[in-house]
Formats: sequence, C-alpha cells, structure tokens
Amino acid sequence: MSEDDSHKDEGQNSGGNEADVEQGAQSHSLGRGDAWLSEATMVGRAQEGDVSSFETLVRRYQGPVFGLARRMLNDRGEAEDVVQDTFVTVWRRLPTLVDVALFRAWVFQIATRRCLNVLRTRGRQPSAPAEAAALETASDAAHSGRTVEGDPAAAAQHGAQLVGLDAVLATLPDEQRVCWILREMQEMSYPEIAYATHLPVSTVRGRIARARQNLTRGMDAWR
Amino acid sequence: MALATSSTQLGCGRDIDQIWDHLDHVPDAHERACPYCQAARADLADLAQATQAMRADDATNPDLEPTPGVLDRILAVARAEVRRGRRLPLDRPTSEQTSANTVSEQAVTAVVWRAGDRTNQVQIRRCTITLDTRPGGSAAPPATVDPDPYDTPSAAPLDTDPAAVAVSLKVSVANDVAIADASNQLRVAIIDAVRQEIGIDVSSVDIAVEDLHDA
Repeated sequence: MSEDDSHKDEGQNSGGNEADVEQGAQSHSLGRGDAWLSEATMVGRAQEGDVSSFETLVRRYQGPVFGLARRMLNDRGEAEDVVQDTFVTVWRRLPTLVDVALFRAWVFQIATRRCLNVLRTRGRQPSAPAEAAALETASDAAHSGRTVEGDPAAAAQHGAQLVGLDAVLATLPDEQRVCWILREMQEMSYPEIAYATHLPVSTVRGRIARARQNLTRGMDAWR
Repeated sequence: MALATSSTQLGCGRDIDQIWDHLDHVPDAHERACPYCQAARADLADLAQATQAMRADDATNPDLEPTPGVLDRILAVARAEVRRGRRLPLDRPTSEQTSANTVSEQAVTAVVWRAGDRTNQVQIRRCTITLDTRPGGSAAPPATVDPDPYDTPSAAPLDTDPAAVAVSLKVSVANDVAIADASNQLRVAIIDAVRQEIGIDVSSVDIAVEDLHDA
C-alpha cells in the first residue's frame, strides 16, 4: 500500500466555495441504509476512532469510489487497489477533516488523486487496450440489454448507446473524464467537484462542457 | 476520434453548457431558428439519454462493487491502527500511589455513544473525556501503561474510590424533541452507563447542541 505523502494539502479546500459545497453535500447527510445515525455523526465518531462507524461509511462509498476508479483505469485490480488505498488514507487522515459535511467530496478528492497518480505512473500508454476493454464490457451490456425489459428493439438501441458512450468515454483526456464521471455518475455539484479535483469551479465547468462536446462527437463517429 | 478543441462555443456563439442546461426546456426562439443549436440540442439529448442509461446500469450492475476482500483489508488496517486515546485510571489512587487499573479513553467514549444511541433522540458527534481531579481524591495524571490489546475494562476494586471523569459532548438532537428534556435524559443515561459498564463516576456532562436532525 503506497502512502503518497507528496500532497500535504489533502483535506484542505482549494477550490470552490465551502458553503456551496456543503449545500451540494447536504442531500447525502441523511444516508440511506442500515444506520439511523446521520452521516455527520458517523464521520465524527469515525474521527474519534470508532471502527464500526467507519465500516458503515466504507460500505456506503466503496462502490462509488470503485466505479470512478474502474472507469478511470479500466482495470478491476488497479481499481480495487485504489479503493483500498483511498479508505486507508481516509482512516489515517480523518482527524484532519475539519468540516464533516465535506466527507463525501473529501473521499473523492483522495480517490481522484490516486487514480490520476496511477495513470501518471503508467505513462501515456496507448489507449488501445483500455478502449478494447471498454468496448468489450459495453458490448456485453448491449447483448444482455440488462436495463430495458421487454422490447428487444429498444433494448438493442439502448445497448448500442451505452456501448458508444462507454467506448468514447475511455478515449477522453483523463482530466475531462474525471470531472464528467464525478458530475454524471456521482451526481456531484460543480463546487463539490472543484473541491475534489482542486480546481476552480470555472475550470470544472469548462472541462465538463468539453467532455460533453467530445462525447457527442465521438458517439456520432461511432454510430 | 474525438479531438479536444479549445472552445465549447458553437458557430452561433452560444456555449454547449448553455444548450445542456436548457435541454429540459422548450427551445427558445434562437434555438428554434439556429442550425448550430438545433444540431447541438439533438446530439446532447442523445448524450443525456445515454448518460442516464449508464447511470442506471451502474446502479444495478453487481460488477461495480469491489470484491469483499477489499473491505476486509481496509478494516484490518483500521483495527490495527485504532486510536484508543489516553489511558484513564479506574480508581482514585491514595496519596502517592498511582492507579494500576486503567481503561482507554476510547472504551469510555464508546459506552457514552451507545448510551446516547439508546435514547433515540440524540446523536453524539463529539465526546471528550477528561479526568476529574477536583477534591474528593487527588487523582494523579494517568500512568502511561502498555496498551491493553483486549481493552477490557476491569472493575475497580471495591476498597478504593472510583475515579471520576468529566464528559463534554457535541450533539445533534432530533427536531421533534425538547432539547432540555433530551439533555437531562442523556445526562442520566450516560452517568448510569459509565458507572455500570466501566465502574467510574461521571462528575459532569457538558452538552452542546450543534445541529438538529430529522426525527
């Protein structure tokens, strides 16, 4: 497990407005699931060393973090390593998190940095293997037609759309892809994404717009 | 394939961002007349649909959870590195003698949390335990002892005075209860639980309400 200490400012807010970020995070403070305790309460207890509250938080966010890592890295094993490193870092640095309402954005801040570090150490590999992997998963989805029941024609069209999006997403520049995933798959607000990526809100907005532009062009070409 | 361009502006000067934000609305006069906007709206509508499909797929796809071993490894690290805090003496040592029986701050904190949970009204977010050294016993500062790996609080011997701690809390209260009543119940619940489960006295419970939550 590699503890990356080169970024000492983790947990510090560098982009966006804290109040906006909190507002974005509000809807998640009364989490779904097993515990009646609010997320802020569980984060507070985890900060004071309560492993069972920490476990509840990990169970809640390991899937979303894994989803981000898998789409960033296109590799299950590496994505699982990112999940593990992220939450070990979360546990160790929890006492430094000042505002518990920022917990989700903070977790994604750590996870995002991990993903980008993995990509950086990989070097700019040709995107061919990633693209092939994305196409493969996407075409599985196309054939199963999993999310559309009944109508095979609709299922096929729906599947084809997913295939196209998945394939084109894998070709986006990393910094566009990460912002787009946080926005569209994690449904985070722009200020939350700014916090997670250490970027100004305006930059986040620009990257997401460019990602959408590239995705539509790519899907056109793909059809 | 897709090449990044420097601008997300369309030929007519509008931005992709604007078109996207406006997708759920009927097109305005410009959008109805402008070929750039019409094309962009159609493309972005397709993208919105595909995005929605991907989100739905992600939500139900079991492949998008890491294998269970990942959680196990994370929790193993957390348990190995658990922060137990200082050791607190269980009894008030007489004169020069320091207490041999200690309990970790973390163990006391856990009892306090659970006592709060049982009230169903108050969520304790922060709990600070301080050793009460006021008259009634000159409790020495807690001796530094090797951490007890099992962290089992041993009952204080009967022939010594139990130690006393002051408890300071930051809490969130359910929005349908009277704060004064809830605080009093919490105070009593904590004093009882710590006395019974740890064997030390709680001399004061300081409660600061920092938030309300939905009942």
